[in-house]
Amino acid sequence: MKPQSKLEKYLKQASRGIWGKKKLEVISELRGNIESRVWMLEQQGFDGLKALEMALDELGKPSEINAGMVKVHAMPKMFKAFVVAAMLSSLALVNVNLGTAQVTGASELPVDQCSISIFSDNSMGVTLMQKADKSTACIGFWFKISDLRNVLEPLGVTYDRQPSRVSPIQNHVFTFPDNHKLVINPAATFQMGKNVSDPIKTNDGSDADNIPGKHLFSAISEMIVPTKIEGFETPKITIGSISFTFGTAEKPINALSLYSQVFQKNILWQYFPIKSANELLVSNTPGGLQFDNAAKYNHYLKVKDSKVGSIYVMVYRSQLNYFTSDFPSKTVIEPYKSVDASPVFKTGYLIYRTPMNKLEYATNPEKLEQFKANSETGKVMLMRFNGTLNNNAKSFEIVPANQITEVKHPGR
Amino acid sequence: VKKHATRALKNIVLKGIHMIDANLMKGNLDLILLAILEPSEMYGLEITKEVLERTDGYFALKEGTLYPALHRLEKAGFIAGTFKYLPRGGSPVKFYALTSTGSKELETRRQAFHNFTHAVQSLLGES
Repeated sequence: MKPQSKLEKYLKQASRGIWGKKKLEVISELRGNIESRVWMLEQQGFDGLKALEMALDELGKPSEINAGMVKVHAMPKMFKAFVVAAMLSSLALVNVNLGTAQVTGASELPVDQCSISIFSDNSMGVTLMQKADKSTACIGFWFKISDLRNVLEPLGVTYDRQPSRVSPIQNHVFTFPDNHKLVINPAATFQMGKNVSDPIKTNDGSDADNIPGKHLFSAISEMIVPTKIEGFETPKITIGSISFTFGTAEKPINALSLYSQVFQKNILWQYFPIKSANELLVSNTPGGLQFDNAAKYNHYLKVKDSKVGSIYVMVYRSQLNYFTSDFPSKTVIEPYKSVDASPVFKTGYLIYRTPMNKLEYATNPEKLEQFKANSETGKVMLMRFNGTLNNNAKSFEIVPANQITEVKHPGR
Repeated sequence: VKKHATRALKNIVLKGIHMIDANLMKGNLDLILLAILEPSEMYGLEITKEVLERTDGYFALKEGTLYPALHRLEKAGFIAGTFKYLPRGGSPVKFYALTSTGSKELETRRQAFHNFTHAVQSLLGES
């Protein structure tokens, strides 16, 4: 049995007989604790599967946890009788999908369009993969609203279309338990009040349901509940106590997949809202690009025109010549040029230090202009590697402009 | 036969001791958990480790007992749980912290326990 199925089976058994939001809470709590144990065991040198087996073993039988939990959270008898009666009287078939559900709508885009020009506007993350028939394809994080609804609605989330403040196209609004809202902008080409498109045009332009992943990620970042996006090709999204994952259209078969499964779980996408002008969220980045929430109040950036905005970071694997992400936008106010393995740039600009060892991860020197700032959304977005990707790599840093005194630029 | 009988007897004795410990643990689980959470908030795995460390391994808290107990205490309003992310990444864990009601409850139970142990010690001639 695969580790993931083993874990899900355990969680399912442990939460049997508990209902609704409480069930999700129990599952989330156990999952968090199991992951903590697995993480500790992995630090001790156990591989993932062994660590999971040991963690579950240490945790005890799911039936024991379940027995105790049911005593605390069982439905009152009267209510239970009412629910059973209601279910019996209903002819509707209800498919309740609890725990970590999967959205299957990540779209495959034609390989001949697998270029930065195509993906830069709309795609959240794109990777080149080799399929079972040895052909290659691009996978972008597009998803279908209908898939998202299929996953979220059984979990008590409601869906609606509501007017947008800036666009004639209505937003997709998911209302979570506790009334938290996930508001997804449907427009692929987004300008204030004009030039919007709905449906989003994807590979064949016929699917009214497709949304670029970045719109979802951006919407998630606006929520005030704890949220998290992990992974690359199959990102796992957690909103409060609800988790779901994206599936790729096809799984890659070999190294063309940018990350192995092990690494995927160590990648975290994060948006960092900027709370005040000239605030930049930066931190040291041992072993890869990392942001530290705690650092945000101590680091500042004054950009050229005094605006602060989103910074999109692109990382690619140089030898294989494909990239994980790029986030340029039409609303860019100032392209921040970065320098590969260079320590300095110019006051008012970001310095973007990359690992010297290009066998691993680096910024893409040919795509420097993609590393940009955006004043409209007021956010910084970075791909955060939560873990050591390359022990030999030098730190990957973004340095606050106010710490820069020297002006140099190799090659200029 | 003698060997088996000895082993069986040993098992019964060990089981008996274990049951006494388990009953003691069970009877005072709420007090133990409230006391563990008094200085700072913790999540499940931390609580298990903390109990083990602070009792030098005497009490090995099983999760089968721990989580239901935490949820019961939360339901009673003695502790409050919040999901938080850890630096390791991954899924959030549920941290539990003592509420003001929980603090009062801890004091009440602590006092009751001291009274009880004092009385038992007096009976055993140890005080």
